[in-house]
Amino acid sequence: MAHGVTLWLLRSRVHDAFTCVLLVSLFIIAGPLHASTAYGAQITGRSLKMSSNRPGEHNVNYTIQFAPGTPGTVGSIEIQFCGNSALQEDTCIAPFGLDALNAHLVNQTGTSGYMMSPSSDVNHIILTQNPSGSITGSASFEFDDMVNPTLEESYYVKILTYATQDASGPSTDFGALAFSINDGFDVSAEVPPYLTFCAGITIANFDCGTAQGRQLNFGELSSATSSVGQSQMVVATNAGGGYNVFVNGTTMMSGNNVIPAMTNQTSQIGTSQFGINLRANTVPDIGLDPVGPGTGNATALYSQVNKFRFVNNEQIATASNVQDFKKYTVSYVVNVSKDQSPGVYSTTLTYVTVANF
Amino acid sequence: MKIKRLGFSRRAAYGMAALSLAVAAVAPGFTGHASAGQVTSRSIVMSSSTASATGVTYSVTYTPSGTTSTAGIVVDFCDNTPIIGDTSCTYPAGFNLTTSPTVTFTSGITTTGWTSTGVQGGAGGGSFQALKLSNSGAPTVAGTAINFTITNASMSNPSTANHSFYARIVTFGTTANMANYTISGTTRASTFTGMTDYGGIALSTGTVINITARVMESLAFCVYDATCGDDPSMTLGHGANLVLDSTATDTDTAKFSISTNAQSGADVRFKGDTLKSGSNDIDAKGATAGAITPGTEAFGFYISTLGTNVTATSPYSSTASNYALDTNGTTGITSTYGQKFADLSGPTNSSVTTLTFGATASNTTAAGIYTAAEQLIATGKF
Repeated sequence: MAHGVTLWLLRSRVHDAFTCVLLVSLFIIAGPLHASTAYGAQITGRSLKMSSNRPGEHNVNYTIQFAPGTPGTVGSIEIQFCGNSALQEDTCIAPFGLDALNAHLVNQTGTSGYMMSPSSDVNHIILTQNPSGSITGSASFEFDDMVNPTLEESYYVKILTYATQDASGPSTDFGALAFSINDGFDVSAEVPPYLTFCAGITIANFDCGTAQGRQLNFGELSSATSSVGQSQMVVATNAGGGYNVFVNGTTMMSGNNVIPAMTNQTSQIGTSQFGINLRANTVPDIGLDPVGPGTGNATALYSQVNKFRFVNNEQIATASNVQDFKKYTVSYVVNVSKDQSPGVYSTTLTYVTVANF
Repeated sequence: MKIKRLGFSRRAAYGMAALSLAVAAVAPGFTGHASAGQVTSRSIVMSSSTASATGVTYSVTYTPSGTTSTAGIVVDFCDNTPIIGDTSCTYPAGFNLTTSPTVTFTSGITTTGWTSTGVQGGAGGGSFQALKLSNSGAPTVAGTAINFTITNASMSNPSTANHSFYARIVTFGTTANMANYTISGTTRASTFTGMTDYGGIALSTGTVINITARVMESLAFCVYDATCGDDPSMTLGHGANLVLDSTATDTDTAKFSISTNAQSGADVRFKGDTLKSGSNDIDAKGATAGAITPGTEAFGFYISTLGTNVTATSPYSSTASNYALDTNGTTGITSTYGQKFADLSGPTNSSVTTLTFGATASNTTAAGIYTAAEQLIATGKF
């Protein structure tokens, strides 16, 4: 009996200490991170390059690149497009809107001979060849006529390789990737139409702000010499059809007396005549050729050196497309005969530029 | 009987919960030496509690009852009881100390001069249940904690998971007296002449907890103006009418954010075209990055803010006002897959990059409303 009591005490103490130590020494040993499910080697170097990532876009090219984890013979390749998961064990749910039914394998690198299997469907592409092909490194497969998913989200591609030629049985290797569908954006800019035109006796460079003067005074006309003068115009426009410059007005007149307008004649001292052109002349020495980056020019009738002309409302300069700045110098020549009636001769010329947008 | 049943059921419960070491005190019910005392603060730390784990290391710690000489230490592993003096010490199935485990003393006693011997006891052939340590120098211990480790590449835990087993520690002042701790199969002597100290320890195997975490490939990509989800479309221009002319280079920005766990990062490509209005266009800046001079017709972009792990890819630049826009049909932004302009070097969370677009018109830029539909396309490299 006494021995039995002793035994009870011993057991009791054992349990007390045991309990205490259990409470303080309990810990978890983390085992291998993967469950016991057997997987093949992981496919590496996985990427999906898309020619467009716009939602719902048609005729998109997809290039899928990867390197099998088990280089060598590959009977078939299954490419799954999934909206829900990149995990091999999860059922693949087709991304809404994605359509691979009309896709074609248009290019393959790193291997050869694979073809799309007829068993491919809307979100599964199966590549196969008989006898089996070989992939030893990075390979890529380009498909055209893919249709993107319709929602702006992230999606997944699962890539599986098989020893079989119909993607049946256990897969050899597996890998997944993610891709993103995003709408694009627009960049816009409005270039407003403009026509820059100014006239004056002088204009510095092409700066219309410097245009000065609007009156030419020939002084006393003489039958022994030509009276000359010049004015300038600057024109530029982004009108696609360019511009036309017209001159409006009359020849020089004094009441009913008129100095006849020239029609492409040379200057004849002692002959009553009035004309203009847009060239650098030598007889008389007056005027400048048009200058500037623009490609516009004087019209043919007003572009003859030493020949002058004046016809009301006639086109004197023209340009056929958008034009950078051009400066025209208008030369004026007045000659009078000895029998030209006395008087104060004058005219008002108006230059009009029309841009052709 | 009632007491015994209760004790066993508790032990079983604790064994199920324990994944590591447990220590249990064993009260003396035993006499063998007039000055024998119970070792205190005793424990055995197992390097693994996995059943049948091999190559394990046990770290034994105890504090002697007082100042004395220790020439022999017996560590005897029993499946049934830690009680010193209990003549039955059954073999924990699967357990094996090996014939000569490596024992390394680390504290509380001299670390040299020790010899270790595995004793088969009740174990089957090739397995060893007990350890005898001897040191002819009979080093002195002074009541401070003694620690030594036992290990061998073939040393193995018991083969039953969540199973309690025990160790008995008995020390002797002379190596000769250690011979009094007789081991014959699963039978032990009930008294040990010359015993110095003693103590029992409980241990337990556990069950490995397999933790599986599934991390999917991810690529989150967003193109936006101010916040993800808005429309980054923009109109370049200035003045009340927001127009483009030759007097200024007009700019605006768009952002993209990217998060991915792709180990090789991602490529970000630009696909689109220059600004066009019917058959007219605004010249693309080209494949050489540079400034846009007001009045010299051009359209392009540069990376004004680089996101984390993002670098610009030539000809595109992260230098301020260094615009480019390569419209080469084979390699530029108008090619099938567009043109890479930014590289993400590795896995990245929420990397935000800002692009600045700039344009100007020349005096000869035809009037019109110019537009360009652009796409930024991210390709994760997993």
